Amino acid sequence: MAVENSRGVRALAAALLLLALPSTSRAVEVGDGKLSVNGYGGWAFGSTFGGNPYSLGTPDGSYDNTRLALALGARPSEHLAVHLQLSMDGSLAGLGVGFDWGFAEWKFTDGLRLRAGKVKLPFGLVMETVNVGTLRPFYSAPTGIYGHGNIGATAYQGAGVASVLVEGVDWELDGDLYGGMLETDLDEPLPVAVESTPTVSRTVRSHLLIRDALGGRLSLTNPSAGLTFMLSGYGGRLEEFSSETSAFERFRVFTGGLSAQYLSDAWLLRSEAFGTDEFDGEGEANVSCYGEVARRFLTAWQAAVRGEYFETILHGQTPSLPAFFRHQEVALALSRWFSAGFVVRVEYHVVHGNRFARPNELASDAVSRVPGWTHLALAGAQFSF
Amino acid sequence: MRIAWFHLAVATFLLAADLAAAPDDVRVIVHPGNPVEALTRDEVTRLFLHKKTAWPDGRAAIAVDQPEASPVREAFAREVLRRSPAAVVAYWQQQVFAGRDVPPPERAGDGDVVDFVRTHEGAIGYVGGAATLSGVKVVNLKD
Repeated sequence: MAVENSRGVRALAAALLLLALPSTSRAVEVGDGKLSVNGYGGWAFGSTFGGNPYSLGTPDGSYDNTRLALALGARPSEHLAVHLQLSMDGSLAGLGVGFDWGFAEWKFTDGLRLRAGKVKLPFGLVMETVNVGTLRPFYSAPTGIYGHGNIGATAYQGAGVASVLVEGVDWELDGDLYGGMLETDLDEPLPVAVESTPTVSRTVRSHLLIRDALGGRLSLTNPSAGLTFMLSGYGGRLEEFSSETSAFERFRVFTGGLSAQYLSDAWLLRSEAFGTDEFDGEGEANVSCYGEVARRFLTAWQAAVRGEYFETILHGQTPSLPAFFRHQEVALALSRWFSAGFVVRVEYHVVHGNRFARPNELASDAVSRVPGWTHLALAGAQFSF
Repeated sequence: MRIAWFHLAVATFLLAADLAAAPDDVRVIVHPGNPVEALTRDEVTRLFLHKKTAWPDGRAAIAVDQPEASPVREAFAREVLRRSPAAVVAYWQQQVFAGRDVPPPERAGDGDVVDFVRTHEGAIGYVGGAATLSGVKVVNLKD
């Protein structure tokens, strides 16, 4: 008994010692911030119910969702900064490496900066950090605006300026203006949903280029009140290369929308609404909106709910299967934050419509059997430093 | 032997609790050669969030931070920046991953902050009320 009590006291002492030690995570820095290395990544398991794959989930369950990105920043002088980010997607098919962005920035004054290169697009609340999971209450950003729905491009190649337009006591109006070329990928609605003649339809991912683009964003922030409001948009000449037809189609395109956010220690409320429209002949318009609410409790836990709507509207055509042009989703998430840089999550999504939740290949005579409802269960972890 | 371990545990916990307790007040310090005598909270906020990176005389301003878990940093965030510590962390994560900026360098505690400010002419830092201020100047905070 005396020996057991002794061990118990030593264990208590050790536990108290451990409790007394704080833990933090921090970027790698050299030279007092002249060179910094940051990164983020994550892995998730996703399983869908109902027969359709959606997002990170498949009917058989997918473990094949690993992503890591490294961001390097160098500040060789007071006015010059250079940024670079590479991302890596690990899958059973191999390692894919992507060049997310790389640009130089010249600071004329504290309120005026010029950027040139491949720059993250200043668009909405989260496009610049769309793959950083530790900045949101769900594993992925809303599908309609930030996925492959032809609303948000991820980066521009060109030049842009970032400016503080007006500043007051604890509020600020910032502006971004850019020009150049935008790139994005679009998952097309299945051709079978428009015409009944194809015998087999396959998911077509089009690589879109928006040339001669001009865009910008206005941001009004009041940090002590936790409020952010944004107006974002861009226009240009869209060139859509279809991998199915191996041909370019060209349209004028305009995209714009509004964003609002409230952030406090306990609450996160976000809502955004965007639309895009193509002109000059047959094309399409896409509209999307979402709202999400997250609440922290017991310090390290967070519960969240999101509702989302997306619709593709074809000009001059009536789809034979309207369900393939709509996406409605409600999602729940429970997150355990071990630190600001590491979170473990479980989520459940309920989707109605087949705009994004559908088989990758479909025969014409099978379309009537595609389930209209898709359920996704997801569990994963994300980190950043 | 049991009593010794118990005393060690209690002493450690009390020491940690003392370290974790909120400081009586937070003081903003600058290099003694800096002519600035007073700053508003808004000016200090702009310096630490890198919205302002130079002093009125044109010298580069170098803000120095403390670790995220530091009670002094939490007090500084709430009392001076008027933001929650989580909001400050989220702000810097957003800036870093958007490729817009990087946070100030960190030093381990009050003593290291004082050493940094003393050896960097444009530096500005913050320390707790009990810190030894050898070779630095305290700036008056105005609303």
